[in-house]
Amino acid sequence: VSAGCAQPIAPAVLLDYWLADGDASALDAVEEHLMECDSCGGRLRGIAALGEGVRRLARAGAVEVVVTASFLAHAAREGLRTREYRVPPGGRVDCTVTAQDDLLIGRLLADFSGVSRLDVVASQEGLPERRIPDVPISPDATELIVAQAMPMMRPLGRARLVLRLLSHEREGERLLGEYTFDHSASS
Amino acid sequence: LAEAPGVRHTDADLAARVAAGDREAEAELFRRLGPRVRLYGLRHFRDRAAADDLVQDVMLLTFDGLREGKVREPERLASYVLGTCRRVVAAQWREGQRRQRILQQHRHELTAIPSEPEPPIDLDRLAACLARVSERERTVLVLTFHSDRSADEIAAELGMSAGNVRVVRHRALARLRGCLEGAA
Repeated sequence: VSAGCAQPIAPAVLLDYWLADGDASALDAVEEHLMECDSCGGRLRGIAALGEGVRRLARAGAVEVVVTASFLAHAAREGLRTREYRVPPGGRVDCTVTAQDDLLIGRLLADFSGVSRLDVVASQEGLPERRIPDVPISPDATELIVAQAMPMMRPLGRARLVLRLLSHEREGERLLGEYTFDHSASS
Repeated sequence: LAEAPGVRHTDADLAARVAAGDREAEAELFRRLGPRVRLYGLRHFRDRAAADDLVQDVMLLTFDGLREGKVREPERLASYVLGTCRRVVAAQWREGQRRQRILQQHRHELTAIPSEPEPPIDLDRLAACLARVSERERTVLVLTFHSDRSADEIAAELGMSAGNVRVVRHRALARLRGCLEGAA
């Protein structure tokens, strides 16, 4: 198989192959195809490049994203310096970010049992309220862990950020907690 | 080994010429198969240097096999190379001495490791695209590619099924690709 490909491998299958996720015999078949097909190999390189880009952005704290304990453990193994603020429902914390910090993490404690869909509403003075729908959280979790976008946080001066966690339920929305972050630039 | 436009020597042709000591055929085979072996190495090692080492190991062993008449089906050379890849990866430590011997013997024959150009990624643009996918998709992508978590592991952490994680993962990557191409 050369330039084109008569039987291109589906993107999802290529992704599973790259991640070594799937049935061993299916992965072997992909491997055999790739050893003869530069077209599918090129598409696999595209997937790998995208994944590498995501990895680099996450490592640099470039995007706001809900993460898990395994993300923090991996970041620690990579030697990243993480500044964390753990806040209980109804709590308030003074916070900052320094030039030495690689990641800024908010840990919002709450009881998520029975929660099937969770929205986060973020409010900051002078900015329109922002709703983040369907945030991933396990009903067994005891905290929602959010990695802030460092490019947004580093230049931020004094600001109050309020986060509200809302559970969607049959009767409507239920407030799980409100969390106040009083941010100031590091001195 | 000049190829006329539109004419491509088969692997079997090249294999026969390599077996006969044709250095130009060796170089052509190296250019053709090297990038595929390198991609195999990247997939298994996640490390460019290790992938480059694998290309050297596998291609030298392949040329060695061709010269010694060990390749029984030259028309299925790609399968032979893949088998060699698998053996080298599985036995990379045990075969350290053999690798050194072959490298010492033939290293001069190899020029730069052939590699396909890696697709360029504009990280600023990718960050903008990553900010546009859903929170669930972003989390799954980050746990997959940053934290090296499997679908099963992500499923356990996020209270999803592994099948759903795979669907979200694939959909998110497609969205990213679409966003990048649309923004180009």
